[in-house]
Amino acid sequence: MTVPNRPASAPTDEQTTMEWLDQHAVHTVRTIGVHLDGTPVGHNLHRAAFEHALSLGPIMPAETLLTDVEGEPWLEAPRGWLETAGAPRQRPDLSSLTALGDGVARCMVDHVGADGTPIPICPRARLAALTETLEEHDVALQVHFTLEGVIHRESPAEARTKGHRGLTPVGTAGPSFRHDHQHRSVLTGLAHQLEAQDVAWQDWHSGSDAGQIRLVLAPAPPVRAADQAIAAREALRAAAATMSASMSFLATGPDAKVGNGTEITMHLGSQHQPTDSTTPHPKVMWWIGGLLATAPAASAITNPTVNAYRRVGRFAGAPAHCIWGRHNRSALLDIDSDHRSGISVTQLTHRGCSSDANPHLALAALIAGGLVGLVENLDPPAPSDATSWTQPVDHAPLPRTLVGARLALAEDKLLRPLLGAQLVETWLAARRHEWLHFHRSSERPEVGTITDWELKRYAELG
Amino acid sequence: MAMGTNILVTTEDDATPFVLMVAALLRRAADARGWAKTVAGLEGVYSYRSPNNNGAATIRFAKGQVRVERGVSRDTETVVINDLNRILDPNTRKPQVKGSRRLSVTAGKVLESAADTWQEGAELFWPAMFADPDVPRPVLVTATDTQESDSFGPNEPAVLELRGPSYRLAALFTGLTWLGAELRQGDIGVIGSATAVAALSHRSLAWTLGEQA
Repeated sequence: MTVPNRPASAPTDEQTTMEWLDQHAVHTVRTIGVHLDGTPVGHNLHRAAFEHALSLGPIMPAETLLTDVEGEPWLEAPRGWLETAGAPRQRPDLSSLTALGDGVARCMVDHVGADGTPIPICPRARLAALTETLEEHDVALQVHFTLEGVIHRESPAEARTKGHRGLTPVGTAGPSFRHDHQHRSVLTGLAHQLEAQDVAWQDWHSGSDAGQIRLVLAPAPPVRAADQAIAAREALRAAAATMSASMSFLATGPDAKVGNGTEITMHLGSQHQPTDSTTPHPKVMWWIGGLLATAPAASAITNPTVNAYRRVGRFAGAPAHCIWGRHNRSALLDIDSDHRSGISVTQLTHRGCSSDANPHLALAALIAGGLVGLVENLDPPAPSDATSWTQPVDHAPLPRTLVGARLALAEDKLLRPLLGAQLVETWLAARRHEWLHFHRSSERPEVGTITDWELKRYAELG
Repeated sequence: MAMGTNILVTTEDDATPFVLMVAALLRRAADARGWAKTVAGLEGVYSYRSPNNNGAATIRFAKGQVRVERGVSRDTETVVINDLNRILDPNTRKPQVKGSRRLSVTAGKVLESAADTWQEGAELFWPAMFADPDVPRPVLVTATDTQESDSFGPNEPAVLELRGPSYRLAALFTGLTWLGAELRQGDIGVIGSATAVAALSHRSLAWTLGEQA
């Protein structure tokens, strides 16, 4: 499958942007930047305002980028970078301009300082910077996301009124096709919405939990793949809304057996990889070695909330062990090879990411882990064909709590230089903020049931 | 282990913020506030619960070995219901005690061995803050109820000023709260840049939770 780096008709400079806006009769441009917690933040700009701000973009207050999901400031997050960066702005990535119809266009942006340099807490810019370094290592990378979420018959307003409890899932549990008719009306709307949002997709099907839908996006270069994940979430919500239903990307809902994850499949290729290879190229092995070595620290990013850890270690749920294997769906990393296109491409699927993770930041953490492996020539342990789901807790464990994951990231020396110290410190402060609020706002949160606080805070996140 | 003493204070791996705060208070009480001998002599299971939120901890004293755990344990001998965060406030409610009065009095004295004055608390607090090079200095502290002021750090114009009632300043400097919580509640105000406030708030929280700079 070939996916271009950018839509064929996307503009590249000011002149072609004007022409593109004329051609699509655009009167409003939605700028979409990515907050550290993965939520889209931006403006709805009149076309004239967008044109006026083409070089650096509109201002995005720093405090907006340094708040939690309910708008409370991360008071403990470092702000030293603000003194040199000045007020952050949303610099348009013109190659991402997408016509949404009715005179509205979407434009992804990077958060930059007054001199145009990306600010250290912009996950999209960090992902782009890491992706650029792959060429130095002769690694070609395309990525596809598989998103999971649950559709309920209640509208978002009804779900809110009910405190996100006792909702009625659309469809029953299990991946069988016999349940698909119950998703049909959503599918119809979803296909339209994905087309309207210019999201390339491969497949959708029911998941293991009641009402769960799995949407497999098409491979794309890393930044575009993560952009598409953000757009696809919006499309899924919009599709649900067409039937007055609601879509939630809550990692572990009150009725979840398995919970919602985000699978990130990396298509790794190398010009120098032999086409008849049956064993992974050494670079792929080092990439895997790096991902495994950094997995505990990366867990604080791939599983960013207290709610995400409720699904770790459940039988048939999120991986709880740091192992890899070939066609091993229970492993953190599952490897497959594709020789059909004449060159050998290794598909490596990471299954340790929750549905509430930030696609750009999570992918940046995985690429950083892969790069660590390449630079340090880290060989992974032997692959495992054993199921992870039955293994004892203490066997190559991944963090099972946000506190444990945060500690692993705080002590990490490998990811920090690649993700940037300011970003890591901000993230650590933000994770501690979540943990403090969880314990201050909930009644006996340590007991195994999902709290009202989690539902209120995370049910509409993502 | 509390530095300079034989008192070992441990917690669970996945300790709650309240447990970490209590453990840090006990370590400081034993190490720096002269309660080591008293702690070493304590035996029994003592629980502390907040009347206002879910903060609760059980402390197991065993002759110098102290273990702090979440919640109120079933085998606890004494339960004290009190708002640890507010024990220095002038109109704070009297604690409710269930169980051994003797243990509650002694353990309570250790746990609540807060500084008598904010200036006394500041003697421990500011060196811990300034161990972090990112924390701005000097800092001017003004008690709004008594109009007392003091400056901490080098003898230069202050880059940050903390203003609040003396009892809230004492609670902050004792580790019964942290700066971010006080700012959110509006009990203490800070005059300074967002960068400086963030750095101090970060270190204050770490100190309250017993983390080293």
